[in-house]
Amino acid sequence: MDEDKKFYLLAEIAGWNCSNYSEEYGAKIQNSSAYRTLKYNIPEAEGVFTQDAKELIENYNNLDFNPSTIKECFLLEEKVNYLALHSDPRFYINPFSIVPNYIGSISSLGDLALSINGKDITINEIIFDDSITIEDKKKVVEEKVDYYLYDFEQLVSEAIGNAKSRTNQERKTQNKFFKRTILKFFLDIFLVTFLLFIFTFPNNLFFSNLYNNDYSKILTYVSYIYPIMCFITLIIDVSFYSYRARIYEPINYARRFLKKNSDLLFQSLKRQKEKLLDYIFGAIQTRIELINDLSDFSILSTSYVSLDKIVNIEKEVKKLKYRRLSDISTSLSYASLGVLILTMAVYFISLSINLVI
Amino acid sequence: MKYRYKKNSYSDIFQLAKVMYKDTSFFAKELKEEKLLSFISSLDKHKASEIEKISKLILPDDVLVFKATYILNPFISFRFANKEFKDYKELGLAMLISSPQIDNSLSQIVSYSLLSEHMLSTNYNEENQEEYERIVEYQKEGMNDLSYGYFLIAYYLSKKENIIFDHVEYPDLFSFVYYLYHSKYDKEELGQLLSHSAMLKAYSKFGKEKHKVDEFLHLNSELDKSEQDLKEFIKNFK
Repeated sequence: MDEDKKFYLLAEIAGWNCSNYSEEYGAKIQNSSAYRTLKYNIPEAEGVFTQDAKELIENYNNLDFNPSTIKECFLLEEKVNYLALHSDPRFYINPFSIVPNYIGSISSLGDLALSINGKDITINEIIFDDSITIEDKKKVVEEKVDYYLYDFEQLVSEAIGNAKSRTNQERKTQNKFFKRTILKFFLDIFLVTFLLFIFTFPNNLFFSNLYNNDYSKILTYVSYIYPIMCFITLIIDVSFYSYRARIYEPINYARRFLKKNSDLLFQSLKRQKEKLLDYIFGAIQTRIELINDLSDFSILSTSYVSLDKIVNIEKEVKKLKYRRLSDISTSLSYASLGVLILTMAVYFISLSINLVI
Repeated sequence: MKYRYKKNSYSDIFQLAKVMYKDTSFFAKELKEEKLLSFISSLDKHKASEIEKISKLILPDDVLVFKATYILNPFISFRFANKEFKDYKELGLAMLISSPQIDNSLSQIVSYSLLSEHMLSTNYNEENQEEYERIVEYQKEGMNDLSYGYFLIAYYLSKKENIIFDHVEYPDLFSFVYYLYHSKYDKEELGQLLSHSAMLKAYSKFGKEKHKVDEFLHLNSELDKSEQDLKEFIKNFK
């Protein structure tokens, strides 16, 4: 912060209008080394499944670089400094939810940061700090590991989509999708049924026109377009719903599994917590540095459910491939409905007046 | 037995005690000499023995003479370094007038806890226990941060609620900032001075616009802390 801004802060608090001094400061903060550090660290945080990482990204995305008062400049700069500090993986990585092939700037449980007496230090530093008693070291480590467990349990509950916690908006979206699926299903059935009908019902007018290919008649065109449209629509719908089922399989399996076996999963989490504590306490007692063990206690992919796939679902449904398929499927349904109505109209009118139109 | 000092002759220690503060460099030496000590001893052996003890300590002249003054005459008004204060309020005002700097001479009152010593000597603490305790507390603050302890005591004793800066009292923050803006001071220097000002910190406890100043100081300290935390982290881990 520029020193003169401190004077203008006092002036502003005293009742002076100092907004013109704040106008260029937002850009200055964006060029600061703290902000550049934060921006550099954010991509790594995006691949991490913890509440701290999520909050970091949210706060980063919500930064407003247009402060209108000096006070806002101060708050913005303080926030950027805080986020820059906490954008280091030491602060947001959870050893329980780390992806097994994680490659990042830290590689050991000993690099993780925790807070003791208002100071942030790493687990390895705590191990070798003689000014802290062993009991205090264990206490602070246990508090942190409890936090890691709590964070992971929150992640599991959120990922599985606990019905109680679903918002009204989420329920509406799900219901809308379900209704759409039912309508598509009936449309597809009707498309196929009508297709079979027109090619099996004895209608000389239709078949003679089909063989003669009189291109001045609408019936000729719909005779070809309609089957092609049915075929494409069915192919796309099958592709889309198969793809969707594949994405949602882990979550559907997890829901079915957890209806009866949620205790099993959470017990395994608690066992993992005990293992982690034993490991770190052992290092504390024997004063051994922890190295290259960051992923050793990850339970993101357990023997019961694949939580890494579950938490990735939101990413999958936002991917271009899913959205494109969904949009194409919807568009084709509308198009094929239009073609169906036209075909039915032309077919039945021709049939009723005994004349090809 | 009499003691001669300048053109005056003193036959009792009470009268002598009343003038010692006016010439501390002289009396600081005299208190270690046989001439004055035997005079005091002839009138009160116990007091002479007390003075002998304190004269062996390494103390500034003003402080030594102050302590000796109240051994000789415990009930006189507060007198220190050639200044006499009829009451504590006057002392507070004298301390405040040098703001935003501290008066180096009067700062010794804080660093050597002379004010609480005077209160005990005059039995002031017996009827004003709360005031005495506050002074002890502020003196303790002064052990960690002399300037802050100094201004806490200055504001507390003087009962002032305004900002005093460069010998001028400002009725409110608005006019204080107006003066600063138009003064010779560089804005960057002012920012640096005010954000760490012990005077403002003490004002935030007593002043009539204390909440505003408290907000100012809080925002500065939080920003400084965030900068410091980040710098330390980068230094240790990068």
